[in-house]
Amino acid sequence: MKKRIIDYQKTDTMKCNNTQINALLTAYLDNALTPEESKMVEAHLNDCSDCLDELQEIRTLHLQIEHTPLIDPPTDAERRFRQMLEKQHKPQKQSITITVDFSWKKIAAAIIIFLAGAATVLLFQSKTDSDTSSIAHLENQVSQMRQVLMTALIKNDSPSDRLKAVQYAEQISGPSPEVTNILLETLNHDPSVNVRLAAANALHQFAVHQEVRTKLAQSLQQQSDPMLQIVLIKMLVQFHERSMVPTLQDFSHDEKTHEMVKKEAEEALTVLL
Amino acid sequence: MDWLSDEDIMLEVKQGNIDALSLLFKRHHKHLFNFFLQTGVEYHHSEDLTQQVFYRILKYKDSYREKAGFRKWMFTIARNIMRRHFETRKRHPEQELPAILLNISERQTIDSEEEERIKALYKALEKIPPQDRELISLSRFQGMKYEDIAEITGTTVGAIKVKMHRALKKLRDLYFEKADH
Ligand SMILES: [Zn+2]
Repeated sequence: MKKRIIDYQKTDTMKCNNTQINALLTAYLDNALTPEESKMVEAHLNDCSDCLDELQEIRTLHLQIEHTPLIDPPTDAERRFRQMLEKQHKPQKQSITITVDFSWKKIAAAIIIFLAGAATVLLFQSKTDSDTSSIAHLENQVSQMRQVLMTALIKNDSPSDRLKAVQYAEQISGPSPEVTNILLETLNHDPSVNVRLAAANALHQFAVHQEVRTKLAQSLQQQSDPMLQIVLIKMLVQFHERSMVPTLQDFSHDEKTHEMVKKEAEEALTVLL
Repeated sequence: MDWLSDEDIMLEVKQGNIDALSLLFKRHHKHLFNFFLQTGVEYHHSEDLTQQVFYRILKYKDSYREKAGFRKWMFTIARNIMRRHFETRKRHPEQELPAILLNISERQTIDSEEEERIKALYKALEKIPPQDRELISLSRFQGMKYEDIAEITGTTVGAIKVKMHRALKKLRDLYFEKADH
C-alpha cells in the first residue's frame, strides 16, 4: 500500500443512528452551530465513537481541499476585462429616457404660458408681500400654481393636455401626496400609453420613497404595454425593489410576455438578492 | 487599496468611478472562474461567464445596496448566469467536469501522490449531484459563510447546515473509496 501524507483508515459504514446530531458534524467543525447545538454535539461525541471517527474523516477531507490549488484563469482575463471597462467610458445616457411622440410646439407653448404665469405670480408677490416674499416662499407659490394647473389639465379629454399636466407634475418641487397619487392614478388608468409613459417618467424622481416604489411595483403587475413594463422594471431595479420579484417571475414564465420584457425581467431577477 | 473592503469599492463604483471595479475583478475573478469550472462549465466558457458576471455588476451597479455583502451578490449573479448557461446550451451540469481540473501535472510540478489525491477529489466531485457541487464549491473552495450560502441559494441557515453535511458525506464516501486503491 502506498504511503500517504494524510494518513487515514476508512472505517466501515457509519453506524451512528442519531441522524439529527450526525447531520450537524460538518457545521460543528465550521463553527457554524448555535451554542446550544454545539453543546449537544459535544455531549454526543463523548459516547459515540462512530461520530468521532466521522469527524476525523471530515477533517481529513477538508485538509485535502485546502491543499488543492485553484486553477489559474487564462492570462488575458484581466486585459479582456479592462477592454470591456474602456468601452463603458464612452458617454452613455445615465437616466432612463422615454420617447413619447408629442408635439414639441405644444410643449413649448405650455412652457411659455407657464413662464408668463410664474412672472405674474412673482410680480404680484413682490408688490404686496415685499417683507415676507422669500425665494422659498415664491418657489412654493409657483409649485402650487403648477399643481393647480396640473389637476385641471389631467381631467382633460385630450391626451396632449394630459401630457402637459404630467409635465407640470414633474416640475413640482417637494411633491404632495396628491400629486403622486394623481400620477399613479394616471399611470394605472390613463387610456393613452404615451400619457402613462410620461407619468412613469415623472414618478421616477419620487421613487426614492418606499411607498411610491411599492405602488410602482403593484402597477407593474397590471401593465400590459411592453414599453411600460420595461421602463418600470428598469426604474425599480435601480432602487433594488424586491417586491416586484413575483411579478418578474410571472413575466419570465408567461409565454405571452414580450421577448424584450422577458429578457429585462430575467436580468433584473439575477441582481435582486 | 488593499485596506478598502469590497463593499467600499463597490460603493465607489456605484457612485460612478467604474475603474474601481478592476480592483474587485483582481480580487475575485479567480474564485469565480473556479466556481464555474467546479460546477461543470467548460474552460473557455468559464472565462466568458466570469466576464459576464462583472459586466452585469457594472450594468446594474445602481441596484447594489449599500452594505450588502459584495461576494454574496457576485455569487448570486454567477449562479444565475451559470444556470442560464446550462439551459441555453442544453448541456447538463451532470456531465463531466472540464479536463483541466484533472490535468494537474500539465500545469504545475507536483508530487505524484498529491496529484493522485487531487484527481480523486475532482473525480468524486464529478459524481455528485450539481446542487451538491455548488454548495461544496461555495463553502470549501470559495470560503463563503453558511449565512451567505443560505441567501445565495434561497434557503435557511438551518437547512444549509444539514445539506452541506450530506453533500460532503457523498463526496467523502466517493473520495476515500478512490484514494484507497
Ligand atoms: Zn453519533
